[in-house]
Amino acid sequence: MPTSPDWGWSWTIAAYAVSWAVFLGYARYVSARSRVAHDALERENRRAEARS
Amino acid sequence: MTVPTPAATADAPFTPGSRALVPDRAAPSRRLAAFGWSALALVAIGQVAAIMMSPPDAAMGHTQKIMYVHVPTAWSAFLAFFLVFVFSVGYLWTRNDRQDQLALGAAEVGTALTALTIAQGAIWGRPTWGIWWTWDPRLTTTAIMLLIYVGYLALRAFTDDPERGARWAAAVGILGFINVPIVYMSVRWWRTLHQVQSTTSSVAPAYRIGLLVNVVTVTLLTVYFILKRAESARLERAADAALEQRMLGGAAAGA
Repeated sequence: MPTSPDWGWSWTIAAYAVSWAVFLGYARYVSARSRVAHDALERENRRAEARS
Repeated sequence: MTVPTPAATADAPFTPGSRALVPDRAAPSRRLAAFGWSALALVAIGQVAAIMMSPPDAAMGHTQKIMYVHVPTAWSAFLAFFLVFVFSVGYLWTRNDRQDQLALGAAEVGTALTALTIAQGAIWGRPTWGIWWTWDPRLTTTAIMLLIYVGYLALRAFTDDPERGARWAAAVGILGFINVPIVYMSVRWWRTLHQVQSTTSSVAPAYRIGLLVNVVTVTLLTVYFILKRAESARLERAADAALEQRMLGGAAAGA
């Protein structure tokens, strides 16, 4: 329970740190998935182009 | 004999005779990326402003400020699962892959946000309630909601046929949504440890604007995540289809 007016900062910082780890981690994850899939699609299309 | 292998696009992976390279519209969208960066910046600005401008709560001290991220995260998870329901109905109705990809995106984002909501709640609960976790109705129904959508994602991951996986997932997405209103109403139906949900009309005026701004910004970020995940699902499906087409072409050529 609160013991001073400034009580609670460490818990608050922990909650925001966890939240931002998830926000930034997920942003990175979805961007990487898109990039990898796009590269694979381009590769396949280049192969198709070369064969035709 | 050589079988012509058509090039794939994200929107038309099996167009016979097409030899175009990946068109611009199939590439990761720059406008979407700009929207994502803007949403992240707005979330950061909104949180810093709310944290700095709101006074500590008489009972909770500064831990009250966790509300500015916990409530928007929980709200966004509900929104994401509602969208799973809508896109699942849409997919079963139209059999349009785009609906399925959006449902997948919303389910994955909702699952991540639900797990985050539970983590934020535990960090708030430890100093306030003295415990990390309890089998309170709100917490329990939230954990069940998380398990339902983890199951949804597992079903998609372990089904080989994408079309069948999409159909089954849509059924789970519709049935699983039954639990979402139960989670929302649990704090009113069973008044136990978790307080009634904080909304802009129920919190003290000093906290109202901060909460509203953060609900809006985290919602924008959630929309970005869903669209981006749907985009990656669309590109992955197209790449898989192109690879499959090449394999079939190779097998036919070897025959």
